[in-house]
Amino acid sequence: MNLKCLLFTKGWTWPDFIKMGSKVLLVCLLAAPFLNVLYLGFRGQLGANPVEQLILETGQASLMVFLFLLALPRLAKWPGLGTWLLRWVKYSRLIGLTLFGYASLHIAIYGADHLGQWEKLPKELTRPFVVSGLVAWLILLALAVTSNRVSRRILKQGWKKLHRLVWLTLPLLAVHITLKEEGDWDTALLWFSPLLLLLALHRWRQFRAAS
Amino acid sequence: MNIKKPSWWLPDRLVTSEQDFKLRRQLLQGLGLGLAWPSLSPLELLAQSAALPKTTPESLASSYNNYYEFSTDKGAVSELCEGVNLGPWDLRIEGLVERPFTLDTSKLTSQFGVEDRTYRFRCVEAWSAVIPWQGFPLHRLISLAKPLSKAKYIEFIAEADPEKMPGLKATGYPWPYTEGLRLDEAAHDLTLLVTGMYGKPLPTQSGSPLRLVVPWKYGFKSIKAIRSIRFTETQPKTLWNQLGPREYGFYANVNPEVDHPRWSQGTEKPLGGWFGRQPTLKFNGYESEVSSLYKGMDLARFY
Repeated sequence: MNLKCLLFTKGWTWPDFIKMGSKVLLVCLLAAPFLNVLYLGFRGQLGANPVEQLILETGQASLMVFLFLLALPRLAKWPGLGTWLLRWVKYSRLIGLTLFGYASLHIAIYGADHLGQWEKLPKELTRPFVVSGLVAWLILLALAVTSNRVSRRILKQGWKKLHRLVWLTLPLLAVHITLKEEGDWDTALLWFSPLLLLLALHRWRQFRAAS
Repeated sequence: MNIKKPSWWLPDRLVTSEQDFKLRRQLLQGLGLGLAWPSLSPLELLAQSAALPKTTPESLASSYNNYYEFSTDKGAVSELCEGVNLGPWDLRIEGLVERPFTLDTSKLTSQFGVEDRTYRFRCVEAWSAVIPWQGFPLHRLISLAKPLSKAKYIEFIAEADPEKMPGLKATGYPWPYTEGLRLDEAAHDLTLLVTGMYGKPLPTQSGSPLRLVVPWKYGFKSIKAIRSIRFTETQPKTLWNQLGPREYGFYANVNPEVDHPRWSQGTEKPLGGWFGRQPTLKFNGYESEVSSLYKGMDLARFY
């Protein structure tokens, strides 16, 4: 008896398989940057400045998951993509927590590298580069802490308002990317232009449907 | 026989012990923190693994390069440089000299000889290395050039060949790369024209066929692939100073007390090191040799 028959006898239907498969695929996508960093680390391919590379990799992973999270509900409204992606929209909390995980790793590695240099902290906290990243992380922290069902029930209408703060991280991260050592506006634009384009198209479609 | 070593000499043993000292201090600081926060021990382990190298391994120094003519990605430059040969060419010595002339870069070592100089190297981006260079002091070329008394500065102009350097088109910078020194800085014995490193000819990514190394200044002053050396009366325009005058001064002396507007210059990450940073030294550790050049100057104003 092959696997398929075994599973079908347990009451599994094709939709169950697809549901399971899409979840597995999502988890693989979310874990890919982490596995990539582990792979680079074990192969000794993090380069001459491994800590900087780790900070860069986790920062880029945060950005990718962030863009994915914000684009997903808009992409799901696109004809043809909806049936597939709506499954993933249901896992928004998992995606958001993954984003928070990568962002926390990013900031923890930076912190570990500067450990014991407390006298520098007040000055660092006046630098727009540091502040923009830190405030963005604090917003993500607030959203991660209140991402459970209990908070949702307690906060009622306020929950939606609170979670709209996620949009505030967009300009903060644009500033953060621009002020990096070799950063510039072009790099920030390159990261965010697909999302901005998608948002514009989404709005335009809404506008056309309304008129 | 006892040979007197110059004051800037970096004995390997000293470099190591200095770094061990800092590592120990870092560990102690970590331990102090550990008492307040017991869960710190994994970080202490990480700090322990941060055994800092003395001389930077050649593989790291030749694979982590700032060379915007090729790419803004420091890790990608060496790959882009594979199979690309810059030079040899005729180096032009021009401007306010008795008689302009050229020098074949492939004959520089036979003409000026070659000296081993292991220098600290500090990038403005707060990473650092210790690199054994081979070259000759720039003042030997200056005396050959016989600058006129009007000459107060030297301008260096780099190669800019769009056929060989893919980064030139990617950025809208005013290429070629230019740098400059005051004549007394250029004539200082530490200022080196470099033809090799680690006992081999310079690789393309490190500035072949000829580069400058000014060890007490941020790395961007140490221009790569020099095509011409020009003596001038007025302070020459330099590429990074033109791009960001507030961030990159003409002097660019390494100084932990004067921060870059966007980040601290107080500490640096030695290449190959993991967690933890080491304190940056004033004039990159060459203070006793060069501070007299800047007597009475406000280093926060002339950064």
